[in-house]
Amino acid sequence: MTAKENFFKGFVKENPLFISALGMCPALAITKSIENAIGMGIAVLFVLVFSNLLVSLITMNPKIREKVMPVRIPVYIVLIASLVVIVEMVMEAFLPDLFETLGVFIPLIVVNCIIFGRAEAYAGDHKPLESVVDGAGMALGFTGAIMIISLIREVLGAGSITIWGNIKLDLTFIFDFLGIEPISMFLQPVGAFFTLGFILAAIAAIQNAKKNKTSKEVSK
Amino acid sequence: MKQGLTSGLVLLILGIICGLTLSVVNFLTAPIIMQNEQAKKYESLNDLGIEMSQYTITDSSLSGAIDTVYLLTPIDSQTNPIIRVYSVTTTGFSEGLNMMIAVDENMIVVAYVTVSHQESPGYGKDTLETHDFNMVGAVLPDTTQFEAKAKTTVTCDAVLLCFDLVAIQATLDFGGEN
Repeated sequence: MTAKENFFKGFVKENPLFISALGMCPALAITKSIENAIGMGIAVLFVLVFSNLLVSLITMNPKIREKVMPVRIPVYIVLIASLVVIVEMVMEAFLPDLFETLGVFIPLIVVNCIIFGRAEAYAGDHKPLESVVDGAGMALGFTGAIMIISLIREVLGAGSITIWGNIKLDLTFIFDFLGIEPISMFLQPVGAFFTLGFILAAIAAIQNAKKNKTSKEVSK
Repeated sequence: MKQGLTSGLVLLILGIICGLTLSVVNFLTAPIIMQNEQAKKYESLNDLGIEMSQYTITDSSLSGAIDTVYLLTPIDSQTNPIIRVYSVTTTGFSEGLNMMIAVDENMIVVAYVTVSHQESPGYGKDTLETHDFNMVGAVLPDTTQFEAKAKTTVTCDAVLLCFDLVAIQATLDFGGEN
């Protein structure tokens, strides 16, 4: 696999959220606005890139690897937890509003399956640079996925798009034109389930259609 | 046995490295976090129009309608009196009418501000946002100079109750009437 393929696989083909269904909790909980999604995405990017790098560095040396392997799970957890605490402290200091909005979901990155999954499934067996590229691709794929959910939820639920802070794109004129009100249900947790459910259903439908097409071509 | 020892050592070393790294990050970010928290806490106090830079502020939590009392001790005690700012919540037309009322050591109401409320737009909301209740300068517990606004009796009663509750607490805090 080339570096480019390695990087882009997390965007669509192996998207952690839409394909592997990992990291569902933050995807459902914090996707009320694009701003939240970007904030969570940056946090996950930092943690995933550095955890992959550190895990790869630790397991690269055969002697160290031999000693770490029996306790690799606690080692990974300690590394990931430390990185998450660093993100938490930095975010609380420099982005207090975002920190407050994301709340408990920042510490919960520790148990985000994407981070641990990539450390166990990829970084432990690959070189540091490859692991960093994989981590960056997966994190950006996750960020893109939660941004899509946020976009749908915010537009339908609030009739606006919060890009960052006070920078808002007001789309209420569309609702005025249609003569309807924004559907506030989409800002509630139930809206997150609906949105994610419809997206996953659409992806499944596309995948099935592709499979059917391929099998028809093969049978011909 | 040896394997167990090695594993323990690996975790110990990792723990020490991570602990040191975190302590460095904490050393760098803790003052900024504390500053942010302080600024946020006292943000609403600025709405009272009191020059906060002339005071050192300490706060204490209470249970009941008055949840927080901020003690403003003047840096220059000769020119400024001690002020206590009470964060008090009552129920008007809806729950959660929160006010901040500043009372000095002579039991005089120095300033007051409505922090948050759920009152009806056009009625209670307008009263809270535009009406002067004429309480600045009132000597607590006397609230006879309170001026209500017609048609918003429930909201005005809630505001008056805020002043009455603060009067009771201030009497206790400042050691009785002068």
